[in-house]
Amino acid sequence: MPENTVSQIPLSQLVGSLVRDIVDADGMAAKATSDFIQSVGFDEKGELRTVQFSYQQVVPGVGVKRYTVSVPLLTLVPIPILGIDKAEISFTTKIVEMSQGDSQAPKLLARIAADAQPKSDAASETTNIKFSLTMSRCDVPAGLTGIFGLLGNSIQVTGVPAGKPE
Amino acid sequence: MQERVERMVTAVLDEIERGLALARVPARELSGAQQVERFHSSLRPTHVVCTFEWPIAAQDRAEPGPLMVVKISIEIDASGVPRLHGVTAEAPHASV
Repeated sequence: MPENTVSQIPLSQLVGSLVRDIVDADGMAAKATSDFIQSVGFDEKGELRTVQFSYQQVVPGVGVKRYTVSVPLLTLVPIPILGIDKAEISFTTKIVEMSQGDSQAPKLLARIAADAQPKSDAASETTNIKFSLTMSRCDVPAGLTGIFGLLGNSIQVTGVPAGKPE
Repeated sequence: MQERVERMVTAVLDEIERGLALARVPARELSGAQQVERFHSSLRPTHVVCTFEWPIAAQDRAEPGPLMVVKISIEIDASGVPRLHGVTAEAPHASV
């Protein structure tokens, strides 16, 4: 059966594509969480969605007093915090070509192999390489931790007098 | 034989390093490639294990000889650079 030369790509591109896809998937998951907060927690004008209700309570010495409660909706619904904690990618490639060069490391042309077992062909000097790549969520770098701290400090709560427009 | 295995190990290590570089920065080969740390700086590749078979008798290529299984263990540091952690070679079916 003739080999599909289109599917032969540099091994580096294959590895890079898989890693990038995992990172993109993680980003999409984070965006889904962000979209959920935006759509559920805030209305079209950017105002916080709240659940309001009122009730009456007997206050000794005062009588019946009416209270109104306003609760942010985001505090009442579970927020789907999505993300990839750990990813393990296993795949087998067939090395179809190894470039010859003395000055630098040989370049490898590869394609995905259906066979999960490593297999060698001594005659053509090709081999199947079985890869197992692990990605993990690691500690946030100190620099980013500092940036998060600055962002947290920028949260402001400003009081607006009742009945006055903002 | 050892020299050829070393070449393969070097090549695999180099390909992984260049592959991770492609994922970290926009590259011509991958249009629209995004940086690994764009959304979650804390999600990154940490380990790679590669296994392949290699003929023990390199000179006699006419007949298939015994094979050894080469296992490369690679750790990837925080900057995305792969470091060779260990290489083992076993000949489970060799009759030598």
